[in-house]
Amino acid sequence: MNIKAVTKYQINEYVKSVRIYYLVILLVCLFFGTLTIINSNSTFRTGGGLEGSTIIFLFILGLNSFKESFFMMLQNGTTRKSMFIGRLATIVGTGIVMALIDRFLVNIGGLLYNISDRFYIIGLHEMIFDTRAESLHIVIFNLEAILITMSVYITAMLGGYFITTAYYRMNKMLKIAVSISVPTSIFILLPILDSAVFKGKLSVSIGRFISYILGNRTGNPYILLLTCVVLMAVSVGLTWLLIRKAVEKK
Amino acid sequence: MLINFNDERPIFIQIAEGIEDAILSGAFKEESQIPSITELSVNYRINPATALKGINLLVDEGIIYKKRGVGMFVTQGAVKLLKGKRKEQFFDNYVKNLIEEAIRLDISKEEVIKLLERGYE
Amino acid sequence: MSIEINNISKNFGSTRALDGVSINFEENRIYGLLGRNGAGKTTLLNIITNRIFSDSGEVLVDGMHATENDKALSRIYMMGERNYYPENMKIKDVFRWTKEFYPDFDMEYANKLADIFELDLKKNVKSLSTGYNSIFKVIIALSVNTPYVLLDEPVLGLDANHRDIFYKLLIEKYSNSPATYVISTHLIEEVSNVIEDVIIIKKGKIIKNETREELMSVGYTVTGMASLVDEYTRGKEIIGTDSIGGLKSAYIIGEVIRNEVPEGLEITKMDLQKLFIQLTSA
Repeated sequence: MNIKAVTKYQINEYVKSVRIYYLVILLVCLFFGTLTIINSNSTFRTGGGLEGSTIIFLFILGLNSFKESFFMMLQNGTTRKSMFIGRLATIVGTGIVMALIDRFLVNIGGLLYNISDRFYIIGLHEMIFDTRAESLHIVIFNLEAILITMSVYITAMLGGYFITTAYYRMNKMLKIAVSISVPTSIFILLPILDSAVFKGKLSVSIGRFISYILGNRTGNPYILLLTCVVLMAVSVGLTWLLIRKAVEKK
Repeated sequence: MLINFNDERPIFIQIAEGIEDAILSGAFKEESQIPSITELSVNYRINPATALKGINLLVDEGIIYKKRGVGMFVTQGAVKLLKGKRKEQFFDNYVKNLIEEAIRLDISKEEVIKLLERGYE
Repeated sequence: MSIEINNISKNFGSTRALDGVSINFEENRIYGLLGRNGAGKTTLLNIITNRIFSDSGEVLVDGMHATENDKALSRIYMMGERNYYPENMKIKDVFRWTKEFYPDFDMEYANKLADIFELDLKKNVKSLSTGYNSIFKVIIALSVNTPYVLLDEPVLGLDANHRDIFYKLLIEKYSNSPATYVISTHLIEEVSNVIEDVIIIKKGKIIKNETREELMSVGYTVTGMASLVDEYTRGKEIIGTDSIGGLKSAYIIGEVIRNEVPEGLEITKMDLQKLFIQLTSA
């Protein structure tokens, strides 16, 4: 089995992007940090900004995780099964590492608040589940935050991975059809239906449902964890079905 | 040695003949080593199996012998052997063709003999 | 030890790309997979290496089913006409990763070949010319040390000098450490002396699968006055004819019986290229 080589290769693909990402984060922090120190009127405030941008970054990373690597793996005598398992290992690894890094950075931000209250940096977990920050021991809270952030990160990458694989498998017509129908139904059809038929109740219910599955409504992070697990399972299953029969094409 | 791939005979025969020519001309002396299969095939860009086939032809005729682990050598007396063989083929390869062409061109027997004599002068 | 291809068929939409193809690629032989453009050569190689899947039939590598089998696939290296390597990767990194996937890859030898071909290892894959795009893949194919090496149009874009170097290196490598090479090409003349076995594929079907010697001995050309040629060839298997004025050449499959050849007819051997053209023309 060459899963080891596959994983090594795919991690290598990610490392470069992740390095650049944190370099940008560092530069942004340095810029606003310096500005805050120099100018006594400005503040450095962010609530969940770091994790939010990491989620977007990882989703995009997921979107770039199929085609190039697929061809390289085919060239090197790798089965679809090995490349898929290798990819899952890479995604999980990246999710864990970045959750740890982000948690570390958030805690540094917390320390800065002790120096000056013009630095107000809090993590996503603190923001959404603010009651837990008060009721749990700081170590337990941080471990919980790592667990939840990690699963959100992994879900974001798997989502991107699934979408890019699905697009690869679609023919041109289907690609166009999906690219048009999905946004139109969400942003045009749904609002029209909502106002015309449901008198605005539909959007309220959807909002409530989303708030519930994100754990926001109940303040229970484990509902979010469950949501992530379900989404992960679905995208892993669907992506495997897509990759199993993927073939070379232009 | 020269191999002409436009020649219509199989390449392994051409390889064998090329080596024969080299032996006759004295380029490969008796009891001296000849190029290996790899050298031959690499040099002429031919499949080693083809080169081997050509060499085996000469081994079977006793013109070349193999020393295990050392290489291939020209047999003592190979030149004499080859001259005998070539003489036998001389009629088929040259005389027959000469006469055929002479008949095609309406050159008489006497004229052919005269031409031969001229060639020797 | 062989790659065994059993009754492979493949359709692309309504086009039948391969039609019940069965071949054995035996251990340590050099095969020429010859066919015109679109005959199905690349499709066949792509199926062997799992780049695409066949509709029916099976491929066995050393007795193992090749489909989705890491162990079977790791014994084959395929140099494709199309580039599968990441465009922004440097050649030296391509070598490095090849070593990860194929542990028997000989880095030292690859570097030596890069030197011979004057390939700049610091260049990106996408910055290479067509010729060098073939060259860097040829170098990998010659250094990878798998039991089976498939070369799809290996000399594409190479100049005469580089082509000569390639054939020389191929024979050298093959002599020093034999492996099975399958060379797919439509440039027959150049490979005809290198290959041992010839497989001719036409419209997805194998029409010839013989040693080169066998194939070359089955065909001959008879040339002469048209009427004489016609008379002589009556009842024989003619695969093609050419005429200039009253002179006619007929390409015949079968053995020549020299005594039967009438006065005024010229018999010549058919070279592989001619035979190929006659066999594969529509």
